[in-house]
Amino acid sequence: MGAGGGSNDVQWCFSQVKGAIDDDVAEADIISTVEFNHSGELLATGDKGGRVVIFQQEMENKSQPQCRSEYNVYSTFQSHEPEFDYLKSLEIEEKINKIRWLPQKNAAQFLLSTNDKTIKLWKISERDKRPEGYNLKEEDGRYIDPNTVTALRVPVFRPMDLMVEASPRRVFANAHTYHINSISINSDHETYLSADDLRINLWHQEITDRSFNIVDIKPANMEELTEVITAAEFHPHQCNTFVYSSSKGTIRLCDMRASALCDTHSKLFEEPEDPSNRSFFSEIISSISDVKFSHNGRYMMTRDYLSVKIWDLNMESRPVETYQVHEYLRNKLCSLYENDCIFDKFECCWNGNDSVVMTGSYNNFFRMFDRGQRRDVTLEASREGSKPQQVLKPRKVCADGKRKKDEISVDSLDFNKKILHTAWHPQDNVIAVATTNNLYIFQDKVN
Amino acid sequence: MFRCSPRIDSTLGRLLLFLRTDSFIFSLVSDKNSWTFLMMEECAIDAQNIISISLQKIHNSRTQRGGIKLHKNLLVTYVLANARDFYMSVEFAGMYSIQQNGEMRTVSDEKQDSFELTGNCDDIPGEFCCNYSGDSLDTYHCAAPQSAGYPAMVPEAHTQTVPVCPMAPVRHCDLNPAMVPEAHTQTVIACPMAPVRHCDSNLLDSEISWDYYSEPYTFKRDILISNTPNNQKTVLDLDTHVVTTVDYGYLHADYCLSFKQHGQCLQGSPKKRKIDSSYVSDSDYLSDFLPMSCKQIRSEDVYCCNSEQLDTNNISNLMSVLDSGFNELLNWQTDLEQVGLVNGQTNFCKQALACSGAWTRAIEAF
Repeated sequence: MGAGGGSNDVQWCFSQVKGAIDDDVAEADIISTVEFNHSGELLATGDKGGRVVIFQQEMENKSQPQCRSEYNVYSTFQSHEPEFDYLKSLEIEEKINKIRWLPQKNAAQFLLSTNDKTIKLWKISERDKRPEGYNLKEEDGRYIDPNTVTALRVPVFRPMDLMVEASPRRVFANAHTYHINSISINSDHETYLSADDLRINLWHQEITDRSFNIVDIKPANMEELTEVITAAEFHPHQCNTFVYSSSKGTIRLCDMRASALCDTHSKLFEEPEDPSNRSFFSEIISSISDVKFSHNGRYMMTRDYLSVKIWDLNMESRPVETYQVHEYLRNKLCSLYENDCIFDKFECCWNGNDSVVMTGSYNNFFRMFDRGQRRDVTLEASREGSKPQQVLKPRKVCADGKRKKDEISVDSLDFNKKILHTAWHPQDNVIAVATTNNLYIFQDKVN
Repeated sequence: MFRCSPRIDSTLGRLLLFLRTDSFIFSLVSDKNSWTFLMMEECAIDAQNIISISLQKIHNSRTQRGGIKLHKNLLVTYVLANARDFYMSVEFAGMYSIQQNGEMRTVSDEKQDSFELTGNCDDIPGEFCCNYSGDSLDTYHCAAPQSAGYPAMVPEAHTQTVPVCPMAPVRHCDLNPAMVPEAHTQTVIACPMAPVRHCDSNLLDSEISWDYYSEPYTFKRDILISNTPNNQKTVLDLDTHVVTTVDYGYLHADYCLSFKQHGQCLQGSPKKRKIDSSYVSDSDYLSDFLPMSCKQIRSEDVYCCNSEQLDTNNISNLMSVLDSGFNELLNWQTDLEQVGLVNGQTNFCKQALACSGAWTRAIEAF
C-alpha cells in the first residue's frame, strides 16, 4: 500500500523516532498534532505544552534513492502560552490543537497554529548570512567613535551558521467562545476558517481584528443543544465549499455563495444507524472526530470511533466505503467509557494519490486501508522494531478466544498507548505517526 | 471503582431493542424465572454503573483544565439518558412482572395497585409519584437526550384514568407554575459543571440546559432527595427552589435554593417543548400517570426565593445533595455485591427495589 498504488505491496520500514525514550511521559510533551507541509519537506508537530517542533527533510540525500532522507529538527518555538480568562474564570490551555501550513510564496514558510482560543500565524525564515564591516559598529555591536574613523568601507554579507527564526506575524484572537477544534486554509490562499464547537469563522490571513461567522449552530436556547461541530475543512479546489462534521455523525457541505451565513447546508451526508448495534454508547461512537477531503476533491473521509468512511461528494445517503478500524472494541465500550478512551479523537489521512487511507488505534497500532486492493494492514509504532530499515511486521488482534501465534488478544491491548495523529507525505511513501510523546517516521522499503 | 460486565455491552443493544417489543412483556409476565429477566436485571446493574460513572465524569469535568469540554459532556449526557431510560424500563418491567405473577408484593406494588385502582397517588412513594399534564401522550420526541420524567409537585390531582403501561417509566413531568401555590420567580445561574435537566410547564419531556459559561437558564424540575421511613419524600423543586418534604402528599419546605434566572419569571414564561423527530427511538415510552395530591409548602428555613442574587451556599447544597445520592449509590453497589443472588431473582428483586431510592435520587438529579 503506498502512494503509487498498483499491485505491489509497499513494505514499510522504520526510519526514525523522535522524542524522549523515558516511559515517564511529561504531559507537556504529549504530541497533539502532526502535519506535513505542501512539499513534504517540512514536518511540524505540536504538543500539549504549546510548543511547535518543525523537522526538515535532508534534501541532499533525496536525490540518491538508495539513501534514506532523514528528518532533522529545523526549528522549535513556543507557539502558545497558558492563559487565564479572568472574566469567565477559565484557564485556557496552551495545547496546540491544529497546525496548518500555508502554501509557500517566497523563501519563508508560514503556518497557522491554534489552541482552544487563539490562532497564530508564524513565519519561519532562514538566516544564513549576516552583514559585516560596519563603519560605526564593531562586530560585537559596540559603537565606534566617529572621530576615529579614517576610512570608509562598504558592509558586505558573509555566510554564517544557519539560523531558523520563527516569528509571530499575526494573532487572531477573541473570536471563539468555545474550543477551537479545526483550522483550514482556503484554496484562494487568502482566507481560512476556524471552527469551534458551535461556530465557524472565516478569516483573512492579513486581518486579525475581524472575522466573519459563516456557521452558527448554537441554539437560541442552549437547553436545546443536541450536537456540536467536531471538524471542518475547506474543499481543496473549490474556494467556496467547505464541510463540517458533527457529534451526531453527520457531515454538512456548505457553499458560501449561497448565503453569508451557511447554517443551511447544501448537502447533508448521513448514514442511517444500524438498530442492531444500538447501545448506551451509540451517540458517542457515531460522533465524527475528523474529516478530510481527498486530494482530488472528489471524496471525503470521516473517522468515528470504530470506523473510517469514504464519502462520495455526489452521494449523501451513505458512504461508498466503510472500513472497520477496531471492531473488536465494540464489546468493550463500557470499559472504554469508564476509562475515557471512548472519547479519544482519532484522525485520519490520505496518501498522495488517494489510494490508501490511514488512521490510528490503540496499543500503538495504526491501520492502513488500500482502497483499490481492498486490503488492510495493522502496523505498530514501537521502539522494539526500531532498527533502521527494519521492515514492520503486520500485527493482528485476536477478537475471539482462539489466539494464534503472534496475535494479540483484545484484553492485552494497552489503551494508554494510542495513536491519534498521523500524517502522510504529499508525494512519497513517508508517514509520520505520533504516539503519546514520540514521533515515528516510516518509509517504504527501498530496494 | 466499577466493573462492567464485558458481555453486557454486546447484549445491551439487543436488549434495548427487545425491551420495546410486546413479546418481551409477555415473556416477562409469563415466566418470571426466565433467563431474560435475570439478564435484564444484570443489565440494570450495569446501567446503574454507567449512570454512576457518568455522574462522576460530569462532576470531574468541573475541575478539568481548560474549562468544560462541551462536546464530551454532551456525549456523557446522552449516555446518562440512555442508561437511565433503560434502568427505569427494567425496573418497571420487573415490578409489573412480579405483580402479575403474584410472587411478591412490595409496598411499592401495593401503592401501584392503589394508584391504578383509585387514581389517587396519595400513598405512592416518591418513585411512583408523578404528575399528569392533562394531555394524553402516545409518543414524544425531545430535542435533547430523552430522559425519564420525574415526579413533580403538582398540587392538584387529576383523576383521569389512563392505562398504566408496564414498560413505561415516568417519562414526563409537568410543572404548571399556576398550580404551584408558591412558585416564585427565580433566577438561575447555570451550574458550570453539570448539565441540568429540566421540565417546563406544558412540556412533555425533560431537556438539558447546556450553557456552561454562566449564562443563566431555568431549572424546572424536582429532585427527589430522600425517602424517609414514614412514606415521606424530600423533593428539591428547582422551579421554586424549595427543598420540601412530602408527607403522604403534603410537601414541607425544608430549605430553599435560590438561583439566578435569566430575567424570566417562571410562572409567566412557560416554554414550548420542541418536537424533534430525530429522537424517535424512545417513542415507545409512554407516560400515563396520575398526579399527586395537593401539596403544601411550609416555610421553614425558606429564604430568598425571589432573590436575584446568587447564593453560593445553594450551589454547594445542590452538590451535597448529588454527592449524598452518589455516595449512597456507591454503598448500595457494595452491599449488592455482598448480598449476591440468593434464591434466584426473588431476593434480588427485593434488594433492587429496596435500594432503588438511591438510584432514583441520582437519576433524577440529572
